[in-house]
Amino acid sequence: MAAEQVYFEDVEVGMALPPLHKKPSNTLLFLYSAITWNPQRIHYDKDYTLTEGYRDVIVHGPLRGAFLSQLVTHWVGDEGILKKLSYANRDIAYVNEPLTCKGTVTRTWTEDGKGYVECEIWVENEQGAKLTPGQATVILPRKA
Amino acid sequence: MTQESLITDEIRSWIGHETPPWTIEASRLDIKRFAVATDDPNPLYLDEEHAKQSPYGGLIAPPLFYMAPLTNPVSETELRPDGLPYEGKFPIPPTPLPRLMDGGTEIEFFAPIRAGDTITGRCKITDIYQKEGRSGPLIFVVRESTYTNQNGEIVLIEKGAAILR
Repeated sequence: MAAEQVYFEDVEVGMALPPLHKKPSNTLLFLYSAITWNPQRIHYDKDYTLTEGYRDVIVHGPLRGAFLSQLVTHWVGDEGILKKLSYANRDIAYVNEPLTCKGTVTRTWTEDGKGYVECEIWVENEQGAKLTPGQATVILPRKA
Repeated sequence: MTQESLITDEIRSWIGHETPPWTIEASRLDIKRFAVATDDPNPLYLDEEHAKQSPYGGLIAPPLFYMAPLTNPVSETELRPDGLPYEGKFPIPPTPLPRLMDGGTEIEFFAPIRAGDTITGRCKITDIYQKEGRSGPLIFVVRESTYTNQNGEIVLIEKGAAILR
């Protein structure tokens, strides 16, 4: 997945994760509604969505969670493990809005011989607003 | 706190309430569908040969795959005007506050979900409390969901909150 496997020893507090760019289209929202069997109309029916006071259909909160999980799993590669993930959807994102998932390493430690890394992660919009702040803890492989 | 408590004994009695368990079949096809629907090209979910060579030794599901059956399929006549079923997957006690917000999600992973697994989810309300928000009182309904595989192994625990305002 990742071009090169990242190791615990490569990581320092303050380091940025490679950002992940997304622009969820109507089609992607439809597919996500379908696979999650989510009939809520604000994700596909614009006429209805306008009656709830939004200007367009909105991106599912858990889809933004999935993007954040992807930011982390992409970075840790096949040999890294996502141990904890948390996020909260603070503000909405509209269909076709460019979103960027970002992260920063906040803490590193070893426990039982394993290398743990904690990161602040978030989804931001073009204005730089953090729509979905979160946190992740990963276990990275160690160099022998 | 000087405000009046909206949490009646009736609402408080929902703490400890458990939903009936539900199951998710992690088929190769649904894993692929979920990966495509979340724009996730990771070969651990899509490429059998790649996955076999990986530390997992076979195809796994994306971390949030367990969210796939978000609602129970009910007929269209049982959906509200906004498209959601009258009864959601997670239990919410009846309160005087009409609007429902997502209060965040926290997941701890213990084992991967593998292609072919049957996952059982169970959800319990662990706490209900009130806070004063900017626009008035908020009621937090805190829940914990545990997902186990067919071997009885816990694959993940999700803690979440619904905020009523």
